[in-house]
Amino acid sequence: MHIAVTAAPRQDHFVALLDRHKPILYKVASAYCARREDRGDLIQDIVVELWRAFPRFDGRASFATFMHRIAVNVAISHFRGESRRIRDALPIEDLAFDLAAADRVMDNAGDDLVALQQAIAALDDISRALVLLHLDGYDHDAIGAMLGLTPGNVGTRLHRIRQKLQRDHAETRT
Amino acid sequence: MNTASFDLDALRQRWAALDCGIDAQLAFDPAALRDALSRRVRSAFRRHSAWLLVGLVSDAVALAGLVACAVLLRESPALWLSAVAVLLLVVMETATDLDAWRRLRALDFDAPVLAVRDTLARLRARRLRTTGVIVLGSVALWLPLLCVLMAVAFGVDLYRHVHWSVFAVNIVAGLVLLPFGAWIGGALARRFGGRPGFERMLDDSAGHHWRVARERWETLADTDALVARGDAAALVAKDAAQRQRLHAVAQPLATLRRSLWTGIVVLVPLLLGVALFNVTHGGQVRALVPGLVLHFALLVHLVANIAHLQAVRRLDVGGDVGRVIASLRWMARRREVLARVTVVVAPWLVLPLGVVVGRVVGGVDVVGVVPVGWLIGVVVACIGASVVLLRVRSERWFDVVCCGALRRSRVLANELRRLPGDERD
Repeated sequence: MHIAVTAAPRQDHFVALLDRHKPILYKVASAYCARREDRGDLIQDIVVELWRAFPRFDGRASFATFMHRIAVNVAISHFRGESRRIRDALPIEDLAFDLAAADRVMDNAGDDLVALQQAIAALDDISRALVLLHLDGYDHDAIGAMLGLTPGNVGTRLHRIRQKLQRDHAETRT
Repeated sequence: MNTASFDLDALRQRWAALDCGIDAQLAFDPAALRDALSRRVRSAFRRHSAWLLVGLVSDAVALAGLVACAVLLRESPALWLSAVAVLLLVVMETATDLDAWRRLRALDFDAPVLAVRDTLARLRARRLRTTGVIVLGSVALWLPLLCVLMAVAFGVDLYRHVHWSVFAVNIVAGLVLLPFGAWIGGALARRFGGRPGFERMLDDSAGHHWRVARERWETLADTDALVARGDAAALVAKDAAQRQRLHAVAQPLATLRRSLWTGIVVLVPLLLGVALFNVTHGGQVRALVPGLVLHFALLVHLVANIAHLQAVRRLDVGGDVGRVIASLRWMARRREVLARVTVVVAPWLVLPLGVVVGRVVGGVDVVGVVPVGWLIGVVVACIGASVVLLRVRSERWFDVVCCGALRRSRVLANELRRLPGDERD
């Protein structure tokens, strides 16, 4: 897949790909931000970073993989000062995301998924990214490449995260 | 909750199935998104372009003023030539500002990073050339400009009232400095070109707003690259370490800056005083030569202080600690060398100082009243004293000459070395 160099076709292509994989934005934002306003901010940051990184997307991996990598890395680094300057150029209203309706979809998904979402939100930044990528079907090699970790490190961390989630879940049930 | 255990693998399928429902709730206006993407990041250089516009307006005012001065002073060839010489510098500055403003407005920040960087580098190079010519040219032209302003404002022709030697020395110094400055600049660029500290110094020289705009753009470009590589985890850890480090060295850094400013505040009035002495004693060789010697000595120290202060301001304290310590030591070593030379030649500055003070305080020409034999004795004593002072290794003396900057540089470097190991790169 070759990306057009001129501005208008490149933007069309980017927008089309973004449209096809929108849920990734919401899921990552939900995992990292408890408040809806913060989720909107994070989604803005992710979209802008995706746009900037888009010239480097060469099609060797899927756009979903590319998007996941950018999204979790932006989420992890979300609280750097730079993100606030970027956000002014891309008002969340232009994206017309109904985050409240998307939240309702999550809430109606079942108690176990709601509990999972809450458990993920209690993890540290890197662990959240690990769990999200694991749930979205990526193997250890792919997760490691996205986050700058070795596959072994990913496996170890995921194992510890599973144990922690089990413990925390057991405590809330008692 | 109705699950007995959390099995991430088992929940994967249902997690993926959420996508359809979420997708239906998320819609966006592609046209609005495209517009927003096209508008972004121009703000980084919008402010610099606004300042360029302000610069262009002030250039236009200066041009109009100098043209008016040249017309008013057309009867006096010296004054007319002075106004035209300064006018040429302002024309050069205006042309550079106009070119930068035009190119920045047309710059596509969505273009590949390397293309944008290349354009910005070319703009900066032109800006630096202009700044260099103006700085070096001002050595020869500040006095002619003063003459023009005095003539226009007060009707006083300084060319008639000040001895020609004062102007001659300034112009000769300026003409000598031009090729010398260009050679120094070229040598520095060959030696240090590409190094982050040197590049930051060049950005500073190109102007504060340029530096801020370029730093912002570079930070955004670097963040993109980092995020795209997947190094966000390392980025977060590095950020936290940088903040801790900045907090730890804030006080010694502020103290170092204060001693550098102290040096500048002490030297500037002395320099102005000696400059005034030189202007008022033009043509009197026995006064002017000692005055120029003192002037040169003070100027060298002032330039060293300013360069040291600029270098400290540019220190990337949050970056590689080893590199920061090396930069501090490098600057301190150069200041120490200058301090050593000053200590060794200090006896030779006593006579010029005596001449200047004698003239200013007592109206006495010390060289004229002191017998030749005594002067020879003073020279011999100076030689002996310099030889003795060559063996001086007292860091305290050197530190006094540098107004405490050497000791405070060491304190800062020690604080950085004391930081925990995992904060040092």
